[in-house]
Amino acid sequence: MKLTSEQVNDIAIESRLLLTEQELDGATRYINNFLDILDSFKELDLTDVEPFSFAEALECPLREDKVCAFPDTEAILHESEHVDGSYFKVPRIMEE
Amino acid sequence: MSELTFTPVIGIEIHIRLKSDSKIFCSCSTNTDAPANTNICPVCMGLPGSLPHLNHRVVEQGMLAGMALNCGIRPKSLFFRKSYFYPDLPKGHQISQCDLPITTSGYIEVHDSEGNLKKIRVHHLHLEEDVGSLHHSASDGRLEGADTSYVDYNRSGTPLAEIVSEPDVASAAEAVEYVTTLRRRVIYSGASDVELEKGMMRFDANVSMKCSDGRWGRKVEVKNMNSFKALERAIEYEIKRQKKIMLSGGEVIQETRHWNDSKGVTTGSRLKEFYRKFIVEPDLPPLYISQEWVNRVRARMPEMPDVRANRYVSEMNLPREVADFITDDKNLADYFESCVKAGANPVRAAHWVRTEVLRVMNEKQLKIQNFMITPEVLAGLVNRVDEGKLSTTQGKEVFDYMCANNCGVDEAVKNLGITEGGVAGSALDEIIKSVLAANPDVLNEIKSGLDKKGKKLKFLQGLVMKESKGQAKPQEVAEAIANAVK
Ligand SMILES: [Zn+2]
Repeated sequence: MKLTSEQVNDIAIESRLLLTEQELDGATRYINNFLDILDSFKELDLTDVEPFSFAEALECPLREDKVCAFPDTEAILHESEHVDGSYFKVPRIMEE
Repeated sequence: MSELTFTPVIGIEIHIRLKSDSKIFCSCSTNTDAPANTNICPVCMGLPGSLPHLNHRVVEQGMLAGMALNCGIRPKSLFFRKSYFYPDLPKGHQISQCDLPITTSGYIEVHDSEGNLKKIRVHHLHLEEDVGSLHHSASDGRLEGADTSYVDYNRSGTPLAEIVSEPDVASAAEAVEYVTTLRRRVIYSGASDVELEKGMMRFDANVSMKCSDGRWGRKVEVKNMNSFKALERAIEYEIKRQKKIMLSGGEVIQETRHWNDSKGVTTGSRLKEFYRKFIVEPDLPPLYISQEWVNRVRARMPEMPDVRANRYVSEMNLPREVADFITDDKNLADYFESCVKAGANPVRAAHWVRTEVLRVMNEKQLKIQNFMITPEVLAGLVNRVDEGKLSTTQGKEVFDYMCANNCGVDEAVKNLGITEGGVAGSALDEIIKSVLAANPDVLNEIKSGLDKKGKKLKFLQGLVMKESKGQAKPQEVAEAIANAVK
Protein backbone atom coordinates (compact mmCIF):
# COMPACT_ATOMS: atom_id res chain seq x y z
CA MET A 1 0.00 0.00 0.00
CA LYS A 2 2.79 2.41 -0.88
CA LEU A 3 2.01 5.87 -2.18
CA THR A 4 3.78 7.30 -5.20
CA SER A 5 5.23 10.79 -5.01
CA GLU A 6 2.52 11.83 -7.45
CA GLN A 7 -0.20 10.69 -5.03
CA VAL A 8 1.52 12.48 -2.16
CA ASN A 9 1.65 15.58 -4.29
CA ASP A 10 -2.13 15.28 -4.89
CA ILE A 11 -2.68 15.15 -1.14
CA ALA A 12 -0.42 18.17 -0.71
CA ILE A 13 -2.41 20.14 -3.27
CA GLU A 14 -5.64 19.13 -1.57
CA SER A 15 -4.12 20.50 1.66
CA ARG A 16 -3.12 23.70 -0.14
CA LEU A 17 0.58 22.93 0.30
CA LEU A 18 3.18 23.61 -2.36
CA LEU A 19 6.10 21.24 -1.93
CA THR A 20 9.51 21.55 -3.52
CA GLU A 21 10.93 18.44 -5.19
CA GLN A 22 13.04 17.84 -2.13
CA GLU A 23 10.17 18.30 0.32
CA LEU A 24 7.99 16.00 -1.75
CA ASP A 25 10.68 13.36 -1.62
CA GLY A 26 10.91 13.63 2.18
CA ALA A 27 7.13 13.64 2.62
CA THR A 28 6.71 10.56 0.41
CA ARG A 29 9.31 8.65 2.39
CA TYR A 30 7.82 9.78 5.72
CA ILE A 31 4.25 8.80 4.83
CA ASN A 32 5.32 5.46 3.40
CA ASN A 33 7.26 4.66 6.57
CA PHE A 34 4.12 5.33 8.53
CA LEU A 35 2.06 3.13 6.21
CA ASP A 36 4.61 0.36 6.72
CA ILE A 37 3.86 0.44 10.43
CA LEU A 38 0.14 0.14 9.71
CA ASP A 39 0.95 -2.77 7.39
CA SER A 40 2.19 -4.74 10.39
CA PHE A 41 -1.42 -4.76 11.69
CA LYS A 42 -2.30 -6.96 8.77
CA GLU A 43 -0.54 -9.84 10.45
CA LEU A 44 -3.30 -9.95 13.07
CA ASP A 45 -6.28 -12.23 12.53
CA LEU A 46 -9.33 -9.93 12.85
CA THR A 47 -11.95 -12.15 11.23
CA ASP A 48 -14.43 -12.04 14.09
CA VAL A 49 -13.56 -8.60 15.44
CA GLU A 50 -16.19 -5.87 15.13
CA PRO A 51 -14.92 -2.49 13.90
CA PHE A 52 -13.96 -0.50 16.96
CA SER A 53 -15.20 3.08 17.26
CA PHE A 54 -15.81 3.76 20.91
CA ALA A 55 -14.08 2.57 24.03
CA GLU A 56 -17.29 2.39 26.04
CA ALA A 57 -20.87 1.57 25.21
CA LEU A 58 -21.89 5.19 25.00
CA GLU A 59 -25.05 6.76 23.72
CA CYS A 60 -25.06 10.05 21.89
CA PRO A 61 -26.07 12.70 24.43
CA LEU A 62 -28.75 15.08 23.19
CA ARG A 63 -29.45 18.68 24.09
CA GLU A 64 -32.60 20.75 23.95
CA ASP A 65 -33.08 23.03 20.94
CA LYS A 66 -32.32 26.26 22.79
CA VAL A 67 -30.38 29.22 21.40
CA CYS A 68 -27.57 30.45 23.57
CA ALA A 69 -25.38 32.94 21.75
CA PHE A 70 -21.63 32.69 22.23
CA PRO A 71 -20.67 35.83 24.17
CA ASP A 72 -17.50 36.75 22.33
CA THR A 73 -17.77 36.20 18.59
CA GLU A 74 -15.32 39.08 18.09
CA ALA A 75 -12.64 37.02 19.79
CA ILE A 76 -13.24 34.19 17.32
CA LEU A 77 -13.01 36.63 14.43
CA HIS A 78 -9.66 37.82 15.72
CA GLU A 79 -8.26 34.30 15.84
CA SER A 80 -7.56 35.07 12.20
CA GLU A 81 -5.23 37.76 10.93
CA HIS A 82 -7.22 38.01 7.74
CA VAL A 83 -10.39 39.83 8.65
CA ASP A 84 -12.28 42.59 6.86
CA GLY A 85 -15.13 44.09 8.86
CA SER A 86 -17.03 41.08 10.17
CA TYR A 87 -15.81 38.75 7.42
CA PHE A 88 -12.91 36.34 7.27
CA LYS A 89 -10.80 36.83 4.17
CA VAL A 90 -9.44 33.88 2.21
CA PRO A 91 -7.65 33.61 -1.11
CA ARG A 92 -10.18 33.30 -3.87
CA ILE A 93 -10.31 29.72 -5.06
CA MET A 94 -13.69 29.66 -6.74
CA GLU A 95 -13.74 28.53 -10.30
CA GLU A 96 -15.27 30.87 -12.82
CA MET B 1 -31.11 -0.15 -39.27
CA SER B 2 -33.51 1.03 -36.63
CA GLU B 3 -33.21 4.41 -35.02
CA LEU B 4 -31.26 4.56 -31.76
CA THR B 5 -33.24 5.50 -28.67
CA PHE B 6 -31.85 6.77 -25.39
CA THR B 7 -33.18 6.33 -21.88
CA PRO B 8 -31.92 8.77 -19.27
CA VAL B 9 -31.01 7.20 -15.92
CA ILE B 10 -31.11 9.88 -13.23
CA GLY B 11 -30.51 9.90 -9.50
CA ILE B 12 -31.09 13.01 -7.41
CA GLU B 13 -29.42 14.22 -4.24
CA ILE B 14 -31.26 16.84 -2.27
CA HIS B 15 -30.12 18.95 0.64
CA ILE B 16 -32.90 20.39 2.78
CA ARG B 17 -32.43 22.72 5.71
CA LEU B 18 -34.25 21.28 8.72
CA LYS B 19 -36.21 23.64 10.94
CA SER B 20 -34.69 24.31 14.35
CA ASP B 21 -33.85 27.32 16.48
CA SER B 22 -30.28 26.32 17.21
CA LYS B 23 -27.64 24.61 15.08
CA ILE B 24 -27.19 20.85 14.89
CA PHE B 25 -24.15 20.56 17.20
CA CYS B 26 -24.06 23.87 19.12
CA SER B 27 -26.41 26.46 20.63
CA CYS B 28 -25.82 29.16 18.01
CA SER B 29 -28.92 30.55 16.32
CA THR B 30 -29.77 29.20 12.86
CA ASN B 31 -30.64 32.70 11.64
CA THR B 32 -28.42 33.03 8.58
CA ASP B 33 -29.69 36.54 7.82
CA ALA B 34 -27.94 37.94 10.90
CA PRO B 35 -24.85 40.16 10.36
CA ALA B 36 -21.91 38.06 9.14
CA ASN B 37 -20.17 35.86 11.71
CA THR B 38 -22.39 36.82 14.64
CA ASN B 39 -23.94 33.34 15.05
CA ILE B 40 -20.68 31.47 15.55
CA CYS B 41 -19.00 29.72 18.47
CA PRO B 42 -15.96 27.48 19.02
CA VAL B 43 -18.00 24.38 18.03
CA CYS B 44 -19.26 25.51 14.63
CA MET B 45 -15.90 27.18 13.98
CA GLY B 46 -14.06 23.97 14.76
CA LEU B 47 -11.75 25.53 17.35
CA PRO B 48 -9.52 23.09 19.22
CA GLY B 49 -11.08 21.56 22.33
CA SER B 50 -14.67 22.16 21.33
CA LEU B 51 -17.13 19.26 21.31
CA PRO B 52 -20.29 18.76 19.22
CA HIS B 53 -23.52 18.28 21.17
CA LEU B 54 -26.39 16.88 19.10
CA ASN B 55 -29.69 18.80 18.98
CA HIS B 56 -32.67 16.63 20.05
CA ARG B 57 -35.08 18.51 17.79
CA VAL B 58 -32.89 18.05 14.72
CA VAL B 59 -33.04 14.28 15.27
CA GLU B 60 -36.85 14.46 15.40
CA GLN B 61 -37.00 16.67 12.33
CA GLY B 62 -34.87 14.10 10.49
CA MET B 63 -37.27 11.37 11.61
CA LEU B 64 -40.30 13.39 10.43
CA ALA B 65 -38.73 14.17 7.06
CA GLY B 66 -37.80 10.50 6.66
CA MET B 67 -41.34 9.37 7.50
CA ALA B 68 -42.68 11.85 4.93
CA LEU B 69 -40.62 9.94 2.33
CA ASN B 70 -41.95 6.56 3.53
CA CYS B 71 -38.58 5.71 5.08
CA GLY B 72 -38.10 3.57 8.17
CA ILE B 73 -36.10 4.85 11.15
CA ARG B 74 -32.92 3.02 12.03
CA PRO B 75 -32.56 2.14 15.74
CA LYS B 76 -28.85 2.94 15.58
CA SER B 77 -27.12 5.49 13.39
CA LEU B 78 -23.68 7.05 13.43
CA PHE B 79 -21.87 10.26 12.55
CA PHE B 80 -18.72 10.45 10.45
CA ARG B 81 -16.11 13.01 9.55
CA LYS B 82 -16.02 13.65 5.83
CA SER B 83 -12.68 15.30 5.25
CA TYR B 84 -11.96 17.91 2.65
CA PHE B 85 -10.33 21.30 2.51
CA TYR B 86 -12.36 24.30 1.54
CA PRO B 87 -12.57 27.70 3.23
CA ASP B 88 -16.30 27.35 3.92
CA LEU B 89 -15.56 24.33 6.11
CA PRO B 90 -13.71 25.57 9.19
CA LYS B 91 -12.97 22.18 10.77
CA GLY B 92 -11.53 20.65 7.61
CA HIS B 93 -14.24 18.02 7.84
CA GLN B 94 -18.00 17.92 7.68
CA ILE B 95 -19.91 15.87 10.25
CA SER B 96 -22.32 13.66 8.33
CA GLN B 97 -24.20 10.40 8.78
CA CYS B 98 -23.17 9.37 5.28
CA ASP B 99 -22.40 5.72 6.07
CA LEU B 100 -24.98 4.74 8.70
CA PRO B 101 -27.93 7.11 8.21
CA ILE B 102 -30.90 7.74 10.49
CA THR B 103 -33.38 6.28 7.97
CA THR B 104 -33.73 3.18 5.85
CA SER B 105 -35.06 3.35 2.29
CA GLY B 106 -38.36 4.89 1.19
CA TYR B 107 -40.06 6.17 -1.94
CA ILE B 108 -41.99 9.01 -3.57
CA GLU B 109 -44.63 8.46 -6.25
CA VAL B 110 -44.56 10.42 -9.52
CA HIS B 111 -46.27 10.11 -12.90
CA ASP B 112 -44.29 8.73 -15.84
CA SER B 113 -44.61 10.01 -19.40
CA GLU B 114 -47.71 7.84 -19.92
CA GLY B 115 -49.38 9.27 -16.83
CA ASN B 116 -48.99 6.10 -14.77
CA LEU B 117 -47.85 6.24 -11.15
CA LYS B 118 -44.31 5.06 -10.57
CA LYS B 119 -42.16 4.89 -7.48
CA ILE B 120 -38.91 6.80 -7.22
CA ARG B 121 -37.06 4.91 -4.53
CA VAL B 122 -35.33 6.94 -1.84
CA HIS B 123 -32.09 5.22 -0.86
CA HIS B 124 -31.93 7.00 2.49
CA LEU B 125 -32.03 10.32 4.32
CA HIS B 126 -29.17 11.33 6.60
CA LEU B 127 -28.38 14.20 8.92
CA GLU B 128 -25.40 16.47 8.43
CA GLU B 129 -24.20 19.99 9.04
CA ASP B 130 -24.16 22.78 6.48
CA VAL B 131 -21.01 24.76 5.67
CA GLY B 132 -20.36 28.53 5.76
CA SER B 133 -21.04 30.81 2.83
CA LEU B 134 -18.49 32.43 0.56
CA HIS B 135 -18.99 35.91 -0.83
CA HIS B 136 -16.95 37.49 -3.51
CA SER B 137 -17.43 41.06 -2.39
CA ALA B 138 -17.14 42.70 1.02
CA SER B 139 -20.15 43.34 3.26
CA ASP B 140 -20.59 46.86 1.96
CA GLY B 141 -20.79 45.58 -1.61
CA ARG B 142 -17.44 46.94 -2.73
CA LEU B 143 -15.46 44.47 -4.75
CA GLU B 144 -12.00 43.93 -3.44
CA GLY B 145 -9.26 42.39 -5.48
CA ALA B 146 -10.42 39.48 -7.56
CA ASP B 147 -8.14 37.25 -5.54
CA THR B 148 -10.08 37.55 -2.25
CA SER B 149 -13.20 35.78 -1.00
CA TYR B 150 -15.14 36.64 2.17
CA VAL B 151 -16.42 33.95 4.49
CA ASP B 152 -19.49 34.12 6.71
CA TYR B 153 -19.85 31.13 9.04
CA ASN B 154 -23.40 31.88 10.24
CA ARG B 155 -24.60 28.96 8.12
CA SER B 156 -21.83 26.66 9.35
CA GLY B 157 -23.42 23.94 11.47
CA THR B 158 -27.04 24.61 10.52
CA PRO B 159 -28.85 21.26 10.23
CA LEU B 160 -29.36 19.58 6.87
CA ALA B 161 -31.07 16.45 5.67
CA GLU B 162 -29.45 14.91 2.62
CA ILE B 163 -31.87 12.77 0.62
CA VAL B 164 -30.41 10.36 -1.90
CA SER B 165 -32.64 8.74 -4.51
CA GLU B 166 -32.05 5.57 -6.47
CA PRO B 167 -31.46 6.19 -10.20
CA ASP B 168 -35.17 5.71 -10.95
CA VAL B 169 -35.85 9.09 -12.54
CA ALA B 170 -36.21 8.94 -16.33
CA SER B 171 -36.80 12.55 -17.36
CA ALA B 172 -36.51 16.17 -16.28
CA ALA B 173 -40.29 16.23 -15.80
CA GLU B 174 -40.15 13.27 -13.42
CA ALA B 175 -37.30 14.94 -11.55
CA VAL B 176 -39.37 18.08 -11.06
CA GLU B 177 -42.41 16.12 -9.87
CA TYR B 178 -40.21 14.11 -7.52
CA VAL B 179 -38.71 17.17 -5.85
CA THR B 180 -42.04 19.04 -5.82
CA THR B 181 -43.89 16.17 -4.15
CA LEU B 182 -41.00 15.55 -1.79
CA ARG B 183 -40.86 19.20 -0.78
CA ARG B 184 -44.61 19.38 -0.17
CA ARG B 185 -44.48 16.23 1.98
CA VAL B 186 -41.54 17.50 4.04
CA ILE B 187 -43.32 20.80 4.65
CA TYR B 188 -46.45 18.93 5.78
CA SER B 189 -44.37 16.85 8.18
CA GLY B 190 -43.16 20.05 9.88
CA ALA B 191 -39.51 19.07 9.44
CA SER B 192 -38.75 22.16 7.37
CA ASP B 193 -40.39 25.18 5.74
CA VAL B 194 -38.21 24.49 2.66
CA GLU B 195 -38.30 28.10 1.52
CA LEU B 196 -36.80 27.86 -1.95
CA GLU B 197 -35.96 31.54 -2.25
CA LYS B 198 -33.87 31.22 0.91
CA GLY B 199 -31.83 28.39 -0.56
CA MET B 200 -33.30 25.80 1.82
CA MET B 201 -33.38 23.16 -0.91
CA ARG B 202 -30.40 22.43 -3.18
CA PHE B 203 -30.04 19.76 -5.83
CA ASP B 204 -27.36 17.61 -7.43
CA ALA B 205 -28.20 15.11 -10.16
CA ASN B 206 -26.43 12.01 -11.45
CA VAL B 207 -27.22 11.68 -15.12
CA SER B 208 -26.28 8.85 -17.46
CA MET B 209 -27.75 7.49 -20.69
CA LYS B 210 -28.69 4.01 -21.76
CA CYS B 211 -28.70 3.48 -25.51
CA SER B 212 -30.94 0.97 -27.32
CA ASP B 213 -27.83 -0.56 -28.91
CA GLY B 214 -26.70 -1.70 -25.46
CA ARG B 215 -24.20 1.04 -24.76
CA TRP B 216 -24.20 2.65 -21.30
CA GLY B 217 -22.81 6.15 -20.87
CA ARG B 218 -20.77 6.95 -17.79
CA LYS B 219 -22.37 8.72 -14.84
CA VAL B 220 -22.01 12.49 -14.77
CA GLU B 221 -22.65 14.37 -11.53
CA VAL B 222 -24.21 17.77 -12.11
CA LYS B 223 -23.95 20.18 -9.20
CA ASN B 224 -25.11 23.61 -8.18
CA MET B 225 -28.87 23.68 -8.89
CA ASN B 226 -30.83 25.84 -6.46
CA SER B 227 -34.32 25.88 -7.95
CA PHE B 228 -36.81 23.52 -9.60
CA LYS B 229 -36.27 25.39 -12.85
CA ALA B 230 -32.49 25.03 -12.62
CA LEU B 231 -32.82 21.30 -11.90
CA GLU B 232 -35.11 20.84 -14.90
CA ARG B 233 -32.91 22.86 -17.26
CA ALA B 234 -29.68 21.25 -16.08
CA ILE B 235 -31.04 17.72 -16.59
CA GLU B 236 -32.46 18.59 -20.01
CA TYR B 237 -29.14 20.13 -21.02
CA GLU B 238 -27.15 17.16 -19.77
CA ILE B 239 -29.43 14.62 -21.52
CA LYS B 240 -28.97 16.48 -24.82
CA ARG B 241 -25.23 16.84 -24.35
CA GLN B 242 -24.68 13.15 -23.57
CA LYS B 243 -27.00 12.00 -26.37
CA LYS B 244 -25.04 14.09 -28.86
CA ILE B 245 -21.75 12.58 -27.74
CA MET B 246 -23.10 9.02 -27.93
CA LEU B 247 -24.78 9.58 -31.30
CA SER B 248 -21.48 10.71 -32.77
CA GLY B 249 -19.85 7.55 -31.45
CA GLY B 250 -18.01 9.35 -28.66
CA GLU B 251 -17.77 8.37 -25.03
CA VAL B 252 -19.23 10.27 -22.11
CA ILE B 253 -16.56 10.60 -19.45
CA GLN B 254 -17.30 10.22 -15.76
CA GLU B 255 -16.95 13.64 -14.22
CA THR B 256 -18.48 16.33 -12.06
CA ARG B 257 -20.01 19.21 -13.96
CA HIS B 258 -21.31 22.51 -12.65
CA TRP B 259 -24.59 24.04 -13.74
CA ASN B 260 -24.21 27.64 -14.82
CA ASP B 261 -27.71 29.06 -14.45
CA SER B 262 -27.14 32.35 -16.26
CA LYS B 263 -25.53 30.69 -19.28
CA GLY B 264 -27.80 27.63 -19.17
CA VAL B 265 -24.94 25.15 -19.58
CA THR B 266 -23.02 22.60 -17.54
CA THR B 267 -19.26 22.90 -17.51
CA GLY B 268 -16.66 20.32 -16.59
CA SER B 269 -14.72 20.93 -13.42
CA ARG B 270 -11.09 21.77 -13.96
CA LEU B 271 -10.27 20.84 -10.38
CA LYS B 272 -9.25 17.27 -9.82
CA GLU B 273 -11.92 15.39 -7.83
CA PHE B 274 -10.69 13.50 -4.82
CA TYR B 275 -12.27 10.58 -3.12
CA ARG B 276 -13.56 12.04 0.12
CA LYS B 277 -12.38 9.69 2.83
CA PHE B 278 -14.38 9.51 6.02
CA ILE B 279 -13.83 8.17 9.53
CA VAL B 280 -16.18 7.68 12.47
CA GLU B 281 -16.67 10.96 14.36
CA PRO B 282 -14.99 10.09 17.66
CA ASP B 283 -16.78 12.88 19.52
CA LEU B 284 -20.27 11.58 18.80
CA PRO B 285 -21.23 8.12 20.09
CA PRO B 286 -23.93 6.19 18.21
CA LEU B 287 -27.40 7.71 18.08
CA TYR B 288 -29.96 5.24 19.46
CA ILE B 289 -33.63 5.75 18.65
CA SER B 290 -36.13 3.60 20.55
CA GLN B 291 -39.31 2.25 18.98
CA GLU B 292 -41.21 4.21 21.58
CA TRP B 293 -39.59 7.46 20.38
CA VAL B 294 -40.36 6.56 16.76
CA ASN B 295 -44.01 5.96 17.70
CA ARG B 296 -44.24 9.29 19.49
CA VAL B 297 -42.86 11.14 16.47
CA ARG B 298 -44.99 9.15 14.03
CA ALA B 299 -48.09 10.19 15.95
CA ARG B 300 -47.30 13.77 14.94
CA MET B 301 -47.30 13.01 11.22
CA PRO B 302 -50.28 14.57 9.49
CA GLU B 303 -52.00 13.09 6.43
CA MET B 304 -49.63 13.62 3.49
CA PRO B 305 -50.63 16.11 0.77
CA ASP B 306 -50.91 13.66 -2.13
CA VAL B 307 -52.93 11.25 0.02
CA ARG B 308 -55.13 14.16 0.98
CA ALA B 309 -55.54 15.27 -2.64
CA ASN B 310 -56.51 11.71 -3.65
CA ARG B 311 -59.13 11.71 -0.90
CA TYR B 312 -60.55 15.02 -2.16
CA VAL B 313 -60.86 13.52 -5.63
CA SER B 314 -62.37 10.19 -4.61
CA GLU B 315 -64.57 11.23 -1.67
CA MET B 316 -65.44 14.84 -2.50
CA ASN B 317 -65.44 14.68 -6.31
CA LEU B 318 -63.02 17.57 -6.60
CA PRO B 319 -61.29 17.86 -9.98
CA ARG B 320 -57.69 16.61 -9.70
CA GLU B 321 -56.23 20.00 -10.51
CA VAL B 322 -58.30 21.72 -7.81
CA ALA B 323 -57.40 19.04 -5.24
CA ASP B 324 -53.69 19.43 -6.01
CA PHE B 325 -53.95 23.17 -5.81
CA ILE B 326 -55.70 23.25 -2.43
CA THR B 327 -53.45 20.64 -0.82
CA ASP B 328 -50.30 22.45 -1.95
CA ASP B 329 -50.60 24.63 1.16
CA LYS B 330 -51.45 22.65 4.28
CA ASN B 331 -53.12 25.62 5.98
CA LEU B 332 -55.28 26.30 2.95
CA ALA B 333 -56.32 22.64 2.87
CA ASP B 334 -57.10 22.77 6.60
CA TYR B 335 -59.28 25.85 5.99
CA PHE B 336 -61.08 24.15 3.13
CA GLU B 337 -61.73 21.04 5.20
CA SER B 338 -63.11 23.04 8.13
CA CYS B 339 -65.44 24.71 5.65
CA VAL B 340 -66.65 21.31 4.42
CA LYS B 341 -66.98 20.05 7.99
CA ALA B 342 -69.20 23.03 8.70
CA GLY B 343 -71.58 21.74 6.06
CA ALA B 344 -70.53 23.34 2.78
CA ASN B 345 -70.69 21.39 -0.46
CA PRO B 346 -67.03 20.43 -1.13
CA VAL B 347 -66.96 21.33 -4.82
CA ARG B 348 -68.56 24.73 -4.18
CA ALA B 349 -66.40 25.38 -1.12
CA ALA B 350 -63.25 24.52 -3.12
CA HIS B 351 -64.33 26.94 -5.81
CA TRP B 352 -64.89 29.74 -3.30
CA VAL B 353 -61.56 29.10 -1.58
CA ARG B 354 -59.70 28.98 -4.86
CA THR B 355 -61.21 32.12 -6.33
CA GLU B 356 -62.59 34.56 -3.75
CA VAL B 357 -60.56 33.63 -0.66
CA LEU B 358 -57.32 33.48 -2.62
CA ARG B 359 -58.04 36.75 -4.40
CA VAL B 360 -58.51 38.62 -1.10
CA MET B 361 -55.47 36.85 0.41
CA ASN B 362 -53.34 38.11 -2.47
CA GLU B 363 -54.83 41.61 -2.45
CA LYS B 364 -54.30 42.04 1.28
CA GLN B 365 -51.10 39.97 1.50
CA LEU B 366 -52.72 37.76 4.12
CA LYS B 367 -51.92 34.24 5.20
CA ILE B 368 -54.91 31.91 5.34
CA GLN B 369 -54.31 31.47 9.08
CA ASN B 370 -55.09 35.18 9.48
CA PHE B 371 -58.00 35.32 7.07
CA MET B 372 -60.86 37.49 8.39
CA ILE B 373 -63.65 35.09 7.42
CA THR B 374 -63.62 31.86 9.37
CA PRO B 375 -64.24 28.65 7.42
CA GLU B 376 -67.51 28.16 9.35
CA VAL B 377 -68.80 31.57 8.29
CA LEU B 378 -67.74 30.93 4.69
CA ALA B 379 -69.60 27.61 4.81
CA GLY B 380 -72.75 29.52 5.82
CA LEU B 381 -72.37 31.89 2.89
CA VAL B 382 -71.66 29.09 0.42
CA ASN B 383 -74.82 27.32 1.58
CA ARG B 384 -77.02 30.36 1.22
CA VAL B 385 -75.85 30.77 -2.36
CA ASP B 386 -76.30 27.05 -2.91
CA GLU B 387 -79.88 27.18 -1.61
CA GLY B 388 -80.66 30.09 -3.88
CA LYS B 389 -81.19 32.53 -1.04
CA LEU B 390 -78.46 34.64 -2.54
CA SER B 391 -77.39 34.82 -6.15
CA THR B 392 -73.74 34.14 -6.95
CA THR B 393 -73.25 37.84 -7.58
CA GLN B 394 -74.92 38.74 -4.30
CA GLY B 395 -72.81 36.11 -2.56
CA LYS B 396 -69.67 37.75 -3.85
CA GLU B 397 -70.92 41.16 -2.79
CA VAL B 398 -71.58 39.81 0.68
CA PHE B 399 -68.15 38.16 0.75
CA ASP B 400 -66.38 41.39 -0.18
CA TYR B 401 -68.43 43.32 2.35
CA MET B 402 -67.50 40.85 5.08
CA CYS B 403 -63.82 41.09 4.17
CA ALA B 404 -63.88 44.88 4.20
CA ASN B 405 -65.95 45.26 7.36
CA ASN B 406 -65.08 42.17 9.33
CA CYS B 407 -68.68 41.23 9.92
CA GLY B 408 -70.95 38.20 9.59
CA VAL B 409 -73.23 37.18 6.72
CA ASP B 410 -76.43 38.56 8.25
CA GLU B 411 -74.97 41.98 8.88
CA ALA B 412 -73.50 42.15 5.39
CA VAL B 413 -76.80 41.12 3.79
CA LYS B 414 -78.68 43.73 5.83
CA ASN B 415 -76.23 46.55 5.15
CA LEU B 416 -76.12 45.77 1.45
CA GLY B 417 -79.92 46.03 1.32
CA ILE B 418 -80.37 42.54 -0.06
CA THR B 419 -83.79 41.04 0.58
CA GLU B 420 -82.75 37.59 1.49
CA GLY B 421 -84.94 34.72 0.62
CA GLY B 422 -86.45 36.74 -2.21
CA VAL B 423 -84.67 36.25 -5.47
CA ALA B 424 -84.92 39.54 -7.33
CA GLY B 425 -82.88 42.07 -9.26
CA SER B 426 -79.50 40.87 -10.43
CA ALA B 427 -80.04 37.44 -8.88
CA LEU B 428 -83.21 36.96 -10.86
CA ASP B 429 -81.57 38.25 -14.05
CA GLU B 430 -78.81 35.72 -13.56
CA ILE B 431 -81.24 32.82 -13.34
CA ILE B 432 -83.20 34.00 -16.36
CA LYS B 433 -80.02 34.34 -18.36
CA SER B 434 -78.95 30.79 -17.57
CA VAL B 435 -82.43 29.37 -18.26
CA LEU B 436 -82.57 31.12 -21.63
CA ALA B 437 -79.08 29.96 -22.48
CA ALA B 438 -80.08 26.37 -21.71
CA ASN B 439 -83.21 26.56 -23.91
CA PRO B 440 -82.19 28.30 -27.16
CA ASP B 441 -84.86 26.56 -29.28
CA VAL B 442 -87.68 27.68 -26.95
CA LEU B 443 -86.32 31.20 -27.07
CA ASN B 444 -86.24 31.10 -30.90
CA GLU B 445 -89.84 29.94 -31.07
CA ILE B 446 -91.00 32.83 -28.91
CA LYS B 447 -88.91 35.34 -30.79
CA SER B 448 -90.24 34.23 -34.16
CA GLY B 449 -93.82 34.64 -32.89
CA LEU B 450 -94.72 30.93 -32.85
CA ASP B 451 -95.74 30.97 -29.17
CA LYS B 452 -99.19 32.38 -29.84
CA LYS B 453 -100.84 31.04 -26.70
CA GLY B 454 -97.89 32.00 -24.46
CA LYS B 455 -97.34 28.36 -23.45
CA LYS B 456 -93.62 28.52 -24.05
CA LEU B 457 -93.37 31.69 -22.02
CA LYS B 458 -95.14 29.94 -19.13
CA PHE B 459 -92.76 27.03 -19.51
CA LEU B 460 -89.77 29.38 -19.09
CA GLN B 461 -91.40 31.05 -16.09
CA GLY B 462 -91.79 27.66 -14.49
CA LEU B 463 -88.14 26.84 -15.04
CA VAL B 464 -87.04 30.14 -13.50
CA MET B 465 -89.30 29.65 -10.49
CA LYS B 466 -87.84 26.20 -10.02
CA GLU B 467 -84.26 27.52 -10.30
CA SER B 468 -85.02 30.20 -7.71
CA LYS B 469 -86.40 27.47 -5.47
CA GLY B 470 -89.67 29.34 -5.24
CA GLN B 471 -87.96 32.38 -3.77
CA ALA B 472 -88.88 34.75 -6.62
CA LYS B 473 -92.18 36.59 -6.98
CA PRO B 474 -94.17 35.13 -9.95
CA GLN B 475 -95.25 38.59 -11.08
CA GLU B 476 -91.64 39.82 -11.23
CA VAL B 477 -90.53 36.66 -12.99
CA ALA B 478 -93.19 37.07 -15.67
CA GLU B 479 -92.25 40.69 -16.28
CA ALA B 480 -88.51 40.01 -16.29
CA ILE B 481 -88.86 37.14 -18.77
CA ALA B 482 -91.12 39.16 -21.00
CA ASN B 483 -88.44 41.83 -21.08
CA ALA B 484 -85.65 39.35 -21.64
CA VAL B 485 -87.22 37.68 -24.71
CA LYS B 486 -88.11 40.93 -26.45
ZN1 LIG C 1 -21.93 27.50 17.07
